[in-house]
Amino acid sequence: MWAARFKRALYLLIPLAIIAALLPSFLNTYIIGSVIFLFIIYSVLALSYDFLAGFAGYMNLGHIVFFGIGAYVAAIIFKKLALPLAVGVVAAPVVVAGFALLFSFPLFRLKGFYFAVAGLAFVELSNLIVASMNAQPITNGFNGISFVQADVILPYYAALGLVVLSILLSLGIADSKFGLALRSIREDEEVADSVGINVPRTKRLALIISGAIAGLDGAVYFWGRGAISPSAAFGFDLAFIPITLALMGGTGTILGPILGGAIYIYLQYYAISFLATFLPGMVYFPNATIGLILIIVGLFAPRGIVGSLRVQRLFRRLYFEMTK
Amino acid sequence: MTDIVLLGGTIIDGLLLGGIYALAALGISLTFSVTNLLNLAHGNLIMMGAVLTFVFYSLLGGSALGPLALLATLLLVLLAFTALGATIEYGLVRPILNNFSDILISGILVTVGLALLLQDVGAYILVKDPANFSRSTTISLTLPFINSVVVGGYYFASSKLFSMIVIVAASVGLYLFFKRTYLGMAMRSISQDRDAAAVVGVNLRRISIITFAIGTLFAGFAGFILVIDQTADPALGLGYTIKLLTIMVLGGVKSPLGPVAGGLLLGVIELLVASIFGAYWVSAVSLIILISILLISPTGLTGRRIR
Repeated sequence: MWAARFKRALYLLIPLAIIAALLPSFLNTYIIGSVIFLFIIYSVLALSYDFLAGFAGYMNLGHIVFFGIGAYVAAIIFKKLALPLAVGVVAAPVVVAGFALLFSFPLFRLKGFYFAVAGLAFVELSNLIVASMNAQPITNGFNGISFVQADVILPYYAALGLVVLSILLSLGIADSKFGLALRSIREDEEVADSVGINVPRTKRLALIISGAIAGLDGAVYFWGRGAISPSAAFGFDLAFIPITLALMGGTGTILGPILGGAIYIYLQYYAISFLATFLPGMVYFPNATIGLILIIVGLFAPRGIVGSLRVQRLFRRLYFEMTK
Repeated sequence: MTDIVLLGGTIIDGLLLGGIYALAALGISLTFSVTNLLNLAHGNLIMMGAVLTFVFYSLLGGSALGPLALLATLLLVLLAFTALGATIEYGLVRPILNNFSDILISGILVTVGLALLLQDVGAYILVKDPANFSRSTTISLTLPFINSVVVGGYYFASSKLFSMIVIVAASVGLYLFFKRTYLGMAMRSISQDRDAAAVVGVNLRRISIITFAIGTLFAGFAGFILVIDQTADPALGLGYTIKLLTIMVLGGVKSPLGPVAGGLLLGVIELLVASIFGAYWVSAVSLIILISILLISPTGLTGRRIR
């Protein structure tokens, strides 16, 4: 079953990857470097958030911290240590995995609501530490670290590779013993424990994988955008992006977070400016857009677009059963 | 000797700052204990209170009319927030409580969504001019009729004394309201056992909407005091909400005395930290307290699980 599902997903993934790889020869650098690049970055962020949230049911509001640390690790290695950027990008997921291991001990003492709140507190705390005067020599404080990035194509391919990696990883986890253990933790931790699943170790591993991918995502983001700052790495409004995208598209599915990323980028880059031609005030409400999506998803579709039954039936009819 | 005087001054200032926190925390803990839904938009409601106070006061002629304009502003803000609270309960909270067994995720999503929405609305109300639009426009009211008062060698703005009196009155009033009135007892019964309360004839819907109206009114009140005593900006909401969570975890939510004690304590600790480590680290105080309390006692000091 696992092999069949994997093969079916590959049939779809390979043509899509080839199309995406050919895109730079058709589209201009702005679309590639800003719109599609950010779409991929956000999708990977939401996918990696969902490794923990979708499988194990832990709502990690502090996920953006991993993204921010990853970006800063790449930036500090590149600008402060004057090593090649590639070293930074490779080191980022390793360092973030270490941080995730460290955070996992205190964080997993908590559950449900308190887990979510502690994550949110970690976001603001990281922001304060990185932007502080004391950290100024390493992080440049408020101003952040930047360099002139002229090449958008190479980071685009890196991001493309990353999203393919995340999807394959997600598929691989879904039907593995590890994925089953995570899902049983989501249903009932005590029962999972009683049937011999090492609950703390399983959760910790999920947090580390989720963090490492987010860290790599952050490093690629820095590579492509050429800049990182405390508000771009640990901002409150940013903290809710992975959650918004994953829940809007459908948590616990592979297609969901990617669909969420596509809708969000479409709203951000096209729908808002389109609406602004009728309602000039629209440009002042960028966060309100996320806010409205959150309210609508929370009230009407907590399982997201892909999670809702009607859409699932449609996909099944199309012989496309990617739901985990 | 001077050290002790300075310390005394810091503690008194901390109590005054904590008074605003207490007022703010009273609202969120009230709505939480009755509906079991944590309103993460409460900090942004306080921000809206500050913004509306600022706008109404300028519209009413501001300092030309003096204390009268301020009183009228307060009444307008309280009225607006009562209506807003009832609307939020009817439009957002009730559907969640009615429809979903898992109110945790829906609750976080909807209230955070509301918070982000309010943040943009607040910024838009303050600055409509696109040329200098900013999300961190700082506002504060300068009231010419407020003087310094000298008490035992310390100087206070009279507005701070006024707000302290109001805060004490509000928390005592709320305490008596819970103990003595039918409505207060009905609220407590719901927070203890929803189903049992319904069985003995408590009208859940009515109590729930009244609770949210009162809780939101307290948020508006806190915003009013905030913009008079301190400064406010449209982006302060979520940071404030985390402070309020810290206070709830510190003081407990079972009686109105909990948030008041927690708020005063946080205010004092924050200013002590500011005088030792510098003002930058003030925002870190509540975060560190929150994280450490949660780690010591994973269900919060209230011992109560939030679903």
